[in-house]
Amino acid sequence: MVENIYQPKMMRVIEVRDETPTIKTFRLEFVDDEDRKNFTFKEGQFGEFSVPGSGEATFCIASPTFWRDYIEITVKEVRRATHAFHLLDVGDFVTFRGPYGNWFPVDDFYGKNVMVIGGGIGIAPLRGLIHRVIKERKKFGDFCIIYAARCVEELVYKEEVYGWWESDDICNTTLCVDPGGETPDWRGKVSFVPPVLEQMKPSPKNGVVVVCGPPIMIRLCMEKLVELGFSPDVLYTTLEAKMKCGLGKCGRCNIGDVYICKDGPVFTYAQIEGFPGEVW
Amino acid sequence: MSNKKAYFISDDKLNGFIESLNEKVPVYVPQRFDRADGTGIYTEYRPYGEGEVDLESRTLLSVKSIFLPQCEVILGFTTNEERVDVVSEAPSDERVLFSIRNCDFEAVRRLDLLFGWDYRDEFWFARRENTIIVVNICDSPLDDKCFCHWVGVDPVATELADCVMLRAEGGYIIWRISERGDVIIDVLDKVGADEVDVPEVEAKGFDNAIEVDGSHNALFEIFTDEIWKVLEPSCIGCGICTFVCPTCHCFEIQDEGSKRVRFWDYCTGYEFTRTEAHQPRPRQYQRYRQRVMHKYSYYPRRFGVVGCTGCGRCISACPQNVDIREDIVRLLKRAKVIK
Repeated sequence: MVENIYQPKMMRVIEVRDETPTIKTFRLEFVDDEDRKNFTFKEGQFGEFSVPGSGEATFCIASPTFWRDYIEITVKEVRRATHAFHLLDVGDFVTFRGPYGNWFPVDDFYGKNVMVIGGGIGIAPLRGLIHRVIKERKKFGDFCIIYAARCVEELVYKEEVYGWWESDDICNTTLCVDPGGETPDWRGKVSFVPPVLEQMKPSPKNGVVVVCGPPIMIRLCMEKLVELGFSPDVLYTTLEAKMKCGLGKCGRCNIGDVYICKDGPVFTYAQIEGFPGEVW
Repeated sequence: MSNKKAYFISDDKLNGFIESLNEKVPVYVPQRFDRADGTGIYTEYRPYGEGEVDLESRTLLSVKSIFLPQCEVILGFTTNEERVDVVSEAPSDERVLFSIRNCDFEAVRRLDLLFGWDYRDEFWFARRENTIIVVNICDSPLDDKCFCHWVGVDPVATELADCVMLRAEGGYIIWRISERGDVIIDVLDKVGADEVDVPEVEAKGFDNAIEVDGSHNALFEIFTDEIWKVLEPSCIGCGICTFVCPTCHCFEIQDEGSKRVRFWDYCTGYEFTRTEAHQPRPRQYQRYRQRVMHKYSYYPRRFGVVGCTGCGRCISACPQNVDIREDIVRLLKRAKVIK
């Protein structure tokens, strides 16, 4: 056979970090040097990962493009495939196919005021973007991060997030947890995201916003931002859908005539408004 | 009358002919099987010799499984302490697909667009390329469930086949179209089939068509229409329509032991799009809408052809007696394409 498009590359776990009781981050490197040398991707792309024998699952690459020797993925334990990931130790093997899909057009964001809004594990696809903006900070206008989770414990990348929070000179970070999710020493906001946006009133002038989180959160944020005067074509999100192949064949992620895996996962709100429905 | 030569093979010599052909190249042919429990019979394309050859009824299962097996190993893992290796094997050698109807053949060609766009699925195309196709053209509908003429399929098309066959009194007339069809002709020669002229064929009885082609954008517009909720109670989401359908291609990939397998899946089922975080199609009407819209709106919008070839299998298989033609008519009326 010429080429098996389902044939993955082998990777090895070189670090495992606990993020929350149900979320872990894995640092992976290619087993073969050739694969490592040839590998490139862009912020927002995803891959099909698996622990051999336990099935593939779709995860976004949660590390920035300029980390050359390894990538990171952040995995919430839900069922069979992700459970197998949570049993992994350093040195174990995983398979990887990718990178697939489109990406955040970061180059188009140069000179603009960038706002990034994440909810829960929805911060994972945004992490590479955030790192990139911080690294090339001078090329962008104002940089603002809003990160929300159900409760303090559910905040992912805590160390990094608190770091951003304390670096006022780099970015203006707002952290919030849902009402009831705060701890006695919580210094962030206790609120859902749309009211925070209402309060902040970010200026739509020369601004782009990237949102990722639970579908309901994305939708409400988009609606609020449009209300605040943002044009739908500067509002970006990355959609999650059940996927099996990542190649536009298996039909899982088909919404209207769009394949999320091929035409996405990154879409503007303007594009999503053209879908027949079934996004949220 | 054409100068090209054709061969007549009588019904009593047919099995002998297929057997001789099968000695040269494995033959997949529609066959009839008695169910072990005696509840009935079903037909499908299988390697010759497993059941009773039956070329004149609509097979319960389409030819889809010849190119996209219901379950197929796409790779395997071999594990040792040092590393895990991934091994994949190419699909099988050359074979003959004998007596397929133009609806099924067209379905396979329409799926070429999906399996070939952007990433090329070599499992599909290896099987496409190693299959010699003998089309059994329909000069009249098999029964009242045929509606290929609604969706742009020519039931007597011959151009893209390797060989063509036509039912004649007491047997079949077979003639060659492409070079790959020579193997069939050689065997016909050998078994002493009579030479005849290639017949002029005219399809009859394909009447009262509703032209579906060209209505994909109008259908797209009625996505949010209430009519879908009216259609809902009919569909119970069992998935048999997708199972028998020649164009339903959606699949699942899972690991079974040290093998990674892909197998058919169905969009009318709840699990199809459900993730832990989200279910974009919680209601049955949404899942039925996905199947209908994917075929008649999304697929033509994306690939330029209707994702249905009118074989009629879903109509005969549905336990709820859903007749997709009736729903198409209702939808097209709603979309104001027809009155």
